[in-house]
Amino acid sequence: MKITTFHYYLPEPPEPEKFFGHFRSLGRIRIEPPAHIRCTYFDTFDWRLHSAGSLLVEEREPYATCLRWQSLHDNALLGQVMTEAPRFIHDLPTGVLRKGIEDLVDMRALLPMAQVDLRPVRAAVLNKRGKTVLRLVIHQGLAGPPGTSDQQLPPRLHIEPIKGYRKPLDQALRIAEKELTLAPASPLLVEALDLAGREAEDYSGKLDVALQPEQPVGDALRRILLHLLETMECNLDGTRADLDSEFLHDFRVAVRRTRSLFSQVKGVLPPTLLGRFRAEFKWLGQVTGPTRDLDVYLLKLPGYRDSLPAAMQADLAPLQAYLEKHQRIEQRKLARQLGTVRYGKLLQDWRTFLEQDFDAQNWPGKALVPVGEVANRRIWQSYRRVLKEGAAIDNDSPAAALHELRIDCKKFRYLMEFFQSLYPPGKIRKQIKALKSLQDNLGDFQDLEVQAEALKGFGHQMQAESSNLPSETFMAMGVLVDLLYQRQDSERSKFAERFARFARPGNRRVCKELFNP
Amino acid sequence: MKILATYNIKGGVGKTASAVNLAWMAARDGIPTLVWDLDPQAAATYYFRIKPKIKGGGRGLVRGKHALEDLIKGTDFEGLDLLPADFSYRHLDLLLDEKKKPTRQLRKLLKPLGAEYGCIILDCPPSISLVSEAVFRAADALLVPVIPTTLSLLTLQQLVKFREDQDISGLHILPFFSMVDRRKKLHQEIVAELPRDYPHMLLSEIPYASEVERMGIYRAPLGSYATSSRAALAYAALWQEIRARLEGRVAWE
Repeated sequence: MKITTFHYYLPEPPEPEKFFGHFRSLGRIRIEPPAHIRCTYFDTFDWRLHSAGSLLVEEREPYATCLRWQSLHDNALLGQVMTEAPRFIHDLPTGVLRKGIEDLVDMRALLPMAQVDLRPVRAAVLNKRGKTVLRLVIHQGLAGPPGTSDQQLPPRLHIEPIKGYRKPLDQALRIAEKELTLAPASPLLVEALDLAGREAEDYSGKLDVALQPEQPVGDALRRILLHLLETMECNLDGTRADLDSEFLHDFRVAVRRTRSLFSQVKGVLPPTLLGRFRAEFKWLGQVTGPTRDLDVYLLKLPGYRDSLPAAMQADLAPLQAYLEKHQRIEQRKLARQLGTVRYGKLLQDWRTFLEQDFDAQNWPGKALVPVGEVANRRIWQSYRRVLKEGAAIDNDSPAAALHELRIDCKKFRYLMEFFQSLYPPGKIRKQIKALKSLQDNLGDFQDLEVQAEALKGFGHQMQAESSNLPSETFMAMGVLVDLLYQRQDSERSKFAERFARFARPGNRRVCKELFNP
Repeated sequence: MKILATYNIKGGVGKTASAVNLAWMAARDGIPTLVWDLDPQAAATYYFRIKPKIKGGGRGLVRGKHALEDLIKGTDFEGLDLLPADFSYRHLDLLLDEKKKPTRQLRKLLKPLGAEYGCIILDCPPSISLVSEAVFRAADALLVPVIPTTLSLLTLQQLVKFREDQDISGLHILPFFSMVDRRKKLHQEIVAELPRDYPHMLLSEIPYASEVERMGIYRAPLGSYATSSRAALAYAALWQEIRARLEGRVAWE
């Protein structure tokens, strides 16, 4: 079944009957009536399907719509459902397709990336039993961004082999390449994206700015901050429209990283500028917070529900309604804030500053130090601090000590990520991974408590907003709060082991080798 | 990968038509599907217009001379492949018997195909033999077409008893009514009564219909040319019942 389709460009729009005549020596050729298919390619904003080597296409014909999940590499069908593309994967009926991609796509919306209106003319090459042994398809049509396919697609020929029938394929390839001298074409998806003005994997939430160790740290910071600004800009429309919760998430991470850079690398940015932007980005962090908090609870809700006894699961419905209602309210406020003059001016001024070429005269003296030096020093300091704080924590330490450590771990993580291009990729990634496991533990420990407290708060507010909620709902929420505290305890008990793993001698040696100034 | 087998000790009950039509529906639902035509009469192979011959014959296959993968032919339908029958399958019993643990051989042969297919349907020859025993050991479930006659009931009982005697506990037996003629009183009576003895039997019944017989003329699965015929709809309903079990939404037995 896993057989590659061969693609060729046709020099001019062919007359199908005449064109297929070139392949007459293969057997009887049955030409099917022309069809009309609208193909819309879907992926998440950050191209999760494409980067996993697959594509999702909705094929709309006059009487049927089919959603197909295919391998990028050979077009092999990995799953299909007779339905339109849903916005979220959990709206699909269970089956091979959903199962195959739900972990990958997760909470991200499926967005149309490009559209092709095809008028394929298909021909089957039949053997003497009347069995199809090869398919030939002439594709013509229009392509473009979703909703507006207006660019002419160069006519193409697809040769689709059928498993176990190698000979007709070889003959057809020979005819196409030797006799008709057709040039190989790029896959339809690539062509469609190109005509839609897109490029696959043109966005990733990951931060990796290429730096040189001897570059002045001021210039390095400027580049990192510019990259972070671009991430905010990329995610703005999706955040305002609330296409899915990850737009706001990526937006906020970029804001947080920006603010972290302000405080983590001191004395480098021009102080006059810093004062204003520090305050403005703090504001941006604040106005985007409430929506994100509610998003998080909505994302967690299915897990909450599953953790309850089956008989109580339905009792959480009013909580969901409450969260959804408030998410809508906060989202509207947020969208408004991101449309204000204040926001527009912040981003515009920030861009103006960052886009100026690095000129030593406008920057403090500290900005001229090579970034390699600064990175080593700051990461090393930060690492030592994490080690020291972590080692001081024992079973009796207060929760505050773990919270403190969590914050310092985050700083350490950000520093490694900002400057990762200065270090051997394999080694730095391993360090980030080692830290991540500790961060997850600390994060869960704190978040579980925050969640438990938040749930109590929601309970009070729900009561205040509506007097006739069933008492079962509050009971279910109470059970949930209990469970969260239990899980928090269990995270606490894992800390020593996680920290020991992070601080093990092998890791220390690598860190010393990488960062020790 | 789930392995289903259409099986009945008795011949002429609609095994092959079921295998071909159900496989077509599985493929249409996006499940990569393979039919293995184990019957030397090669009816499934015929329906797909494929030559009933495999390189090296049954002997080469059992001895592992050719990988199963290389013997597979694509059908005219996307996502649906066939491992053709070969006349030498009439000696498959003897060939299996030459091996150690003959009844484990089919499962072993099929194992590497798990990565490529979500569903494999074995179309079995009638009779009870070493081949059928190997099928029982390989399959997750037997789909047993039952014509509502007394004799068919008898063979179903034999089959259930055989499973117990041989202690093949992992194998599910799913009978369903086939070639039902509602004009016949006996058919009506048995259709009404059998589910009491077999509460897990599939409830969709395949009618006796000339469309099914005409598959031999069209040489294609019913759904591909007579989508809304009574028989095609019956197979579609039957497939939905089977799919619910494959996906674990409904218990097998």
